[in-house]
Amino acid sequence: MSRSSSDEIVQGYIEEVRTYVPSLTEGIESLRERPGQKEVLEETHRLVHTIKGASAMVGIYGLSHIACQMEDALEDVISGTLDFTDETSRIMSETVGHFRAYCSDFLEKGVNARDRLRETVISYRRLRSLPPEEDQAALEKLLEVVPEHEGRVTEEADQDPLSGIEEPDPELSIDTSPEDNESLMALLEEPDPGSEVEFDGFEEDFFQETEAEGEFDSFKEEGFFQETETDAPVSEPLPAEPFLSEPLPELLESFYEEAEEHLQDLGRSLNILESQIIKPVPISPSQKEVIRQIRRSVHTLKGASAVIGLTSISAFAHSAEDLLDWLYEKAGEIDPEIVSVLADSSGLLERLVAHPEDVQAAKAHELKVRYREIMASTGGKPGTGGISTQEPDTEAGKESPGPSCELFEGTEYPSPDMLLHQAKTLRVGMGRVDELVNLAGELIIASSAFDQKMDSFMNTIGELELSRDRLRDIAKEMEIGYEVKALEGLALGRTEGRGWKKGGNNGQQLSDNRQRLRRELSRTTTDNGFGENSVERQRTSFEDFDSLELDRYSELNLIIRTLNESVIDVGAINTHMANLYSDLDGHLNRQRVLLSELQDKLMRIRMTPMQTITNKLRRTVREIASKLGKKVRLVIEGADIELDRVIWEKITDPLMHILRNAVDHGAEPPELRQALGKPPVATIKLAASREGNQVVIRIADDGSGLNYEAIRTSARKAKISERADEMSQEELAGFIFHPGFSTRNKISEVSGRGVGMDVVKENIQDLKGTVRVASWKSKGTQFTIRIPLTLAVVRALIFTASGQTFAIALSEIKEIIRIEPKNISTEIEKVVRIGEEVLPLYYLAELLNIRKDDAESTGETVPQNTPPTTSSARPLVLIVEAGGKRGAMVIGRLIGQREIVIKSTGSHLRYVKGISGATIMGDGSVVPILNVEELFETETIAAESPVSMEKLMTETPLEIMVVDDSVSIRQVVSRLMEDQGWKVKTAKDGIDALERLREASPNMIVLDIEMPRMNGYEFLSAIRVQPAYQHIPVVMLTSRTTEKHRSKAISLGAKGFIVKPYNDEEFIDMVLELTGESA
Amino acid sequence: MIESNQIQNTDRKTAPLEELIAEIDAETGGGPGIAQPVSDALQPAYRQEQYIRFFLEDILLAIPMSGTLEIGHRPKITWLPNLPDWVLGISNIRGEIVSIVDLKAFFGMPSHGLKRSQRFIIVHDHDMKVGLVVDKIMGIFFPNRIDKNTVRSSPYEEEVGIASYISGVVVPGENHEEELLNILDTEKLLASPRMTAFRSE
Repeated sequence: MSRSSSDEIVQGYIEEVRTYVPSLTEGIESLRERPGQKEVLEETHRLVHTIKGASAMVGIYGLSHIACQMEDALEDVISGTLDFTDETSRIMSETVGHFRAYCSDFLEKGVNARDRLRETVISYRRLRSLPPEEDQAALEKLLEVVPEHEGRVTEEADQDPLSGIEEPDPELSIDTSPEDNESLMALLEEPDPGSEVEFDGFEEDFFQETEAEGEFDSFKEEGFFQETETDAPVSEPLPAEPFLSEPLPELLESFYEEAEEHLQDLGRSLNILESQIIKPVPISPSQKEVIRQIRRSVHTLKGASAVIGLTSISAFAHSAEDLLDWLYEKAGEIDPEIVSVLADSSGLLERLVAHPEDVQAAKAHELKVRYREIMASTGGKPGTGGISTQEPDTEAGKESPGPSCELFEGTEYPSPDMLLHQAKTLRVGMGRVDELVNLAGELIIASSAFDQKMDSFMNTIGELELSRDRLRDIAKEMEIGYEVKALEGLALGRTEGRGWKKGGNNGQQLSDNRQRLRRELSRTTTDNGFGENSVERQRTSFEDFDSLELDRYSELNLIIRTLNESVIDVGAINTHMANLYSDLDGHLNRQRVLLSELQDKLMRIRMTPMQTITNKLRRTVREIASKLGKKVRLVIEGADIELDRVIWEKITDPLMHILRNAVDHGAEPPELRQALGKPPVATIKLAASREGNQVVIRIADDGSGLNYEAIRTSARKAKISERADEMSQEELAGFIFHPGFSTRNKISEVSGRGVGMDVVKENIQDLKGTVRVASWKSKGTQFTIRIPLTLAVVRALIFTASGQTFAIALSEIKEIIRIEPKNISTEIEKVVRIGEEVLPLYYLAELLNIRKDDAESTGETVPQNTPPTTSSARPLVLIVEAGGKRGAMVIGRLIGQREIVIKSTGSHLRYVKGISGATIMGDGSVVPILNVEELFETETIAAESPVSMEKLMTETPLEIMVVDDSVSIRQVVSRLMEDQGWKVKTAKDGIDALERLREASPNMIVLDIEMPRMNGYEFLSAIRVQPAYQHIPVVMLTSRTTEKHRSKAISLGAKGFIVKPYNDEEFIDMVLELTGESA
Repeated sequence: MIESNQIQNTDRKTAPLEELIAEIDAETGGGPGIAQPVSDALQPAYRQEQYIRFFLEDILLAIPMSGTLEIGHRPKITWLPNLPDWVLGISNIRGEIVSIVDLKAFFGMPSHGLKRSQRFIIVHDHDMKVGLVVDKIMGIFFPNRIDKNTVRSSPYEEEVGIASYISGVVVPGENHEEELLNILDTEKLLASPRMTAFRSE
């Protein structure tokens, strides 16, 4: 384990060096050409310095010292004492060559370190014109610590990679010669900040190396986490210089990440101890395990911070570890005092990790003193806890959250393979994830547009089929007619003027039996279907043929056959398209499923457990409690509940505020609590849970509860409400969210400023969440915060009210029913009885202040008891529950439920009362999403001056119905109309049009004359007798130009007459004129 | 993300603003050619800036093109509750939701309902976008065509209604039979308390 892990480190390190080599070569090359480039110089120096420091760290001393030589030279160049000549560049290139050699050979064959070092040292000493006489002395010193060979083949290097570090005195590396030392000292004295910093770091590097030896040792040998103890005592607080300039940013970053994890584990473990230990108890085995977990976290933190060079953390962690060792191995009892010391220590560690430059020496010292006290005071007691069979839960009292303990034990502890685990983690910026999430949202919109196109595709296929049928009928009719004509010609010889039309009607039977047909025909006389000439021509051509064969040879017959073939072709294409459609539909469905899965997964990426913020909350409570001299413990439940990371970030402040208030206002001082018969330690419980589509966070304290009288007095004083005296407790509780409201006379450091709860509410509302408060006198207060699980996508019900479309999140709707009018009571307030339940009844149109324009409704006002939306006898209601309120809401018509992407209502209207957002439907229309809770709160007093709905209703687009039997005419006209932003409905003929009229009446009808089933004239007369349609203007669109047709149409009531082909402009003008829309 | 998406959409679906304006110019016959020679004798503030001219009833206004994003036919507007009468609602402008303001109502001018002939102009500042409904767009206006003396500061004394948002006036030259052109200060308009009243509850 230790071998492989240290090998891994070395291997990783070699890789690292390998990546530096090209930059170094480049840097030297660039410097050779233009020596003065400060930046390049510094960068090169930084790389070399890194190699030097890190090599020593992983135990490749040869490499470290070689790098050291180069570094010294570079420092000289930077300070100006050495020119960057071609010789310099040559030697440095050579050094880089050594680096490269280490890279390629170290792991395989090993490197002859001493030789290389010797060569390098001599070259650099010459370069820096150091006296050759001292070469030997300097070399000897160096060579002592460098093995002859470094790398794989030299067993000793592997066996004891740290043997070298036994010796290195901090001076060694910088003290290659007296002169050298002097020059460095000179450097130190020179007020050159740049080099000084470098020097500091340099010294620190070695200092740290020796200092942290113990940790480093154990750290490596144990393969990070093995449970062997480190006995190496770390001397008292280490010098204050944190090692910030040195560690690579990547290293630091991953350290922070790791540290955060450990701190979270710490917090979780402490939470267990805190919730279980409220008085001195013997340590139970499970608690012992928890202590072991804590120790492990601290230990790992110590090791990691030492490696990274954050000595202040490692030093403190070390002394904390002493206490933990003692606690784990020797102590028999644990009391709240110890737990609180541990909690403080954890807090300090957290702060140290967050701000390593702020050393907190005083605090650390104070804690260390407390450690010693604890160890001294109870240290002697023999351990009993280890063998104690008592259940810890019985000891811990009834508040003890057993489940949370189980939860903890069930949780996989991130253990020795953490390195592995980290390698599998990819760090991606939030911005990128957001981009993806947004893109997925857009995709959903795009795909719903596709759905709509698919529908119209299906309709088109249907139409194609109809057209095909008609084509087939015509072809058949033509064929029969032709045959009849031909046979007639044969049968009757030269008889004139035999037609086929009537025969065509009976064609079906006739074609079955030519004999019968011939007989029939002899009796039939109608007018001629074909031109006189063609009959003439056919007749002559028929004469030479047999009656059964002649149809094959006629030109017209060939055309008919082609037509028949085309019909078959069209049919085949139609079938093919229908198949394509179902294929496409299948693919689309699959895509939809994948899309929603994709979105789900993406949302999950952003989810983090509440753990990420619990430490902060815990610290807040601790700090405030100690500041106020109160004893408070915070019990956190449901730390694994996940929410969008952004939400946690935004909700941390409100939570901290509520917790602060709970400690300050809620929890009583210990003496008072005892007097009241409560346990001296107040408990604040923060429990998160998932309820449906929401995460609910409840923060309850067992303190004094809200002082309703104080609130009432303050409310009266602040003149927030006229009727403060008669308000219920519930209403009064709502006041705490009022801006500027405070019951405190004194402004304390902690609270009482009267800012806060309103901000809390605002912040939570920003997250589309709600916050409520409930309180019981001297029993405590509970805040309930509800946050929707995701911000972006929600399943919603789409419906209309007063003609406009709205959406409500499905999670807020409990039931959709029709109610009987007799169950509605309006006596005191509007309520409706549904089953056993009586619910307040709201009319959405009223809530939204949608009022019919009085002028529009012929001067009559809407009677008060007939609400605008309930034209139907049994109004449709949604039973809605939001913010703890339940109500029935009358709506118009249901459209359906969809997955909608919530968008804001634009950068301008960031907040609109009663609206929580908007969504864009597949057809591009915007649908507002209602905030039910706010709507219920809305008093039914009209806002400032609401836009009357009618005003906007007038701008709903014109609806035009196009009635024509030709698909292409329908399409061309539709397109023209749609370009104007109008809505178009189409009908194939008069019957179809009448059917469609029943669904919705358009503003205008465009009508063809010749149509199957019911022609234009018939249709005109049909709608003129129906009062509902009389007023709809009709424009005839036809190719008949004669005055006869025109006047007939006008007499039947057509308002306009347009001849195909028409002029677009004229047509549009006529539509505008007839619909009264022309401006 | 939305930004880039929008740009793509713009590319695909509609002509750039300039083209659209040129088209409108052609329609109305009022616009100047794009390739106007630039003269230097101008007030710095008005130089190089182009303006979109439009009518609000019979008042000729101009807004700087730099503050506008697009112009076009008035889109379909979705009404929202609890808003003052000058906010007509919201619209989907290329996948983005933008609020639509009836500029006449905002200025307290009598509004004769909405007409199909009306256009909208999307104006923006650093943090919000608003679509303004105007009666008629008259094309682009280049102040560099005219003498610098013709651009003057606002002559309106009372700071009410529309007058308080007029930053300057262009007086037509002798040979122009044009009306007084009022330059609307869109930044001031967007920063006005009434506009920004919807930031939070």
